[in-house]
This record gives sequence, C-alpha cells and structure tokens, in this order.
Amino acid sequence: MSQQNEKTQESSYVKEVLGDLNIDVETLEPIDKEKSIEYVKIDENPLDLLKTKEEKERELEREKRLKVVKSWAYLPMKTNGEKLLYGCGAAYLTGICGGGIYGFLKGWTKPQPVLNYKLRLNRALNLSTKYGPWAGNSMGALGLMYTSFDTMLNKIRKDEPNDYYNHVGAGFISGALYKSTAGLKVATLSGGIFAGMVALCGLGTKVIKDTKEKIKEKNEKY
Amino acid sequence: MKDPTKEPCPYRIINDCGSSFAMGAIGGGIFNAFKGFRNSPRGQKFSGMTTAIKTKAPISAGNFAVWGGLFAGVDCTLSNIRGKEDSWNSIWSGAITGGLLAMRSGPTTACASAVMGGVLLAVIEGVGHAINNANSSMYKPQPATIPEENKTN
Repeated sequence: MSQQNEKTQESSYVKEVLGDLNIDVETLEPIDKEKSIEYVKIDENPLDLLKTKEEKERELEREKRLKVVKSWAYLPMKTNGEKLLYGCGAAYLTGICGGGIYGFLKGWTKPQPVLNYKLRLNRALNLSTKYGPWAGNSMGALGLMYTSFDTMLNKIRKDEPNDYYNHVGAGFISGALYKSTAGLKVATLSGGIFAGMVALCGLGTKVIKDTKEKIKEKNEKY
Repeated sequence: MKDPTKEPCPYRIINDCGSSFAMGAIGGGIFNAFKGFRNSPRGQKFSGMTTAIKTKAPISAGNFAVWGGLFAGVDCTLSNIRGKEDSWNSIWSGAITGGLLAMRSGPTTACASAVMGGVLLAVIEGVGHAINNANSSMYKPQPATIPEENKTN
C-alpha cells in the first residue's frame, strides 16, 4: 500500500495538476510600464525635517528603482473607511491644536492689572482648555459628516467616481446639517460657505499642479 | 519587530484618533438621542432630542478622541524607545494615558485611574490573545500518521 502511495505522489507533477491549461510565455501579455502599478508611498517619518541624509538618499534610490508614482496623499488613504478615519482624526487634531494655541496666546497677551507670572500662565491654560476642545469637537464633527457624505455620494453616483462635484456636494450637505437647528437661511449660508471652501481648495491644488507642470516643461526645453 | 495588523506608526495616531472620535460621536449621539427623547416633556420630544445630540454628542466624541489619540501617541513612543511591539506596550500606554488625563485632580486619583487604565488594557489584550490562540490552534500542523508496516524497529 505504502509503495503505491509513494508512486502516485511521484507521478503528480505540476503539469498533471494543471491539466489542460495551456501556458505559453508568448501569450502572456507583459505589464504596461506606464499604467501598470501605482506604489502607495508610506513613510516612517512623514516630515522631511526629521530625516537624515542617508535616509533621503536611500529613499531616492528606491523611488528610482521601483518607479514610484508620487501622486499620493499625505496620509495612506486607500479605502473609503480609511479616508473617513484619517480625515476625522486629522480634522480633530488640527482643531484641538489650533484652538489650544489661539486660546493660549489670547490668555498670555491679555493686558492685566497685576503682572504675575503664575496668574498669567493659569489664565492662558484656562483659555486654551476652553477654546481647544470646542474647536476640535466642531472640526471633528464636520470632518466626520463630510467624509461620510462624500463616500455616500461616491456610492450613489457610480458613473463618475472620484468626481470633484462629489466633494463640493458633500461640503454643502455637511455644512447645512451642522447649522440645521439655527433655521433654513443660516443652514444654507453655512453650507454654501463650506462648499465654497472645498471648491476653492480644489481650484488651488489644480492651479498649483498646472503651474508645476508648466515650470517642468520650461526647464526641459532649456 | 512590527505588527503587520496595525497601521505604521506616525499615521496610527491620526487613525486611532479618528476612529475613536467617530465611535464616540456615533455612540454618544444614539445614547443622548434616547436620553433626550425620554427626559423632555410631551410636545417637545423632538426638539429636546436634537438639542441633547447637539450639545452632548461632540463632548463624548472629544473625550473618546483624546483618549485614543493620547493612547496611540504613548504607544508609538514606547515602541520607538523599546524597539519592539508587544502587549506590554499597549498596557503601559493605557496606564500612562489614564494617569495623564486625571493628573489635575490630584496624585491619588491619578494613580487610581492609571491602574484602572492598565487593568482595562490588560484585559483587552488578554482576551485578544485568548481569541487569537483559540483561532490559530485550529490550523496547527498535525503529525503525520505512519502506517504500521512501514515502521522500523
């Protein structure tokens, strides 16, 4: 019994397993070099200031070797869920940092009757803990609504995925919902403001991209 | 050694912050909607619900986000200092965040909340390890059964 088993195992080559599948090297199409794979770049150190010279050189070599496409966002957002989490977190962190710094400076520079270091620090800390969470909470809620409506619109308008009108629409809906309890007029106004901000952001990035390409073309000509 | 199931380190802070904010916002919104609906007088149920959501959901979301963000930040710094990622990192970072957040209310409460945070994270990590072990024991390589004819000696 055992010898027979061994024989069957020996005779089972890859060809027999594959059966009638014909694999010729010539029929396999090579991957298109220009449109093949986009490597998503995820850094250990997101800030350029923290990198040493060796790390920068190594990275450049790697980019040349792998032909990394550099059209990535600053955060590794690949799916819609990741976009929601990263957008929400980034909005909350910027809100809490900006609000905290604003409150600290406001409390620190306020004129006082008695110049006392301890009192000054206490006032600055109190104001920063007052403004920071307020700004962070509202920014985070806006970011959560914006990203969720953006993915929703992306799912609904399947014909034109990643269209920029999606972002503008999501901005309008989230801005209107954020101020929906204050009345219709205020809601539409805040929605319009938020949508305008999103549209301005898109226009700005487009203009910067175009000018960069123009500068590149000019440099290549000369 | 890196944990492949988690995000890479500096980005993890933002991701954890965002996920805990979303969790707090949605959970706090639902909880406060029920609470506001029940506690408001008849005829003003809907407006009471909306005001309860509007005022209280962002606060709970912010508390969650502060916890998550601080936890991820301490976790990243600890893993960077020690050079490895294991359960002790998250247990210690839970204790440190618990202590840091209760720092203004005195040393005894800070110590108590630090111990609470450490125990909570230890329980979570222990349950995770137990589930992981139970799942991976299904795919353990079994020793091959050798037929009796083939046995030497």
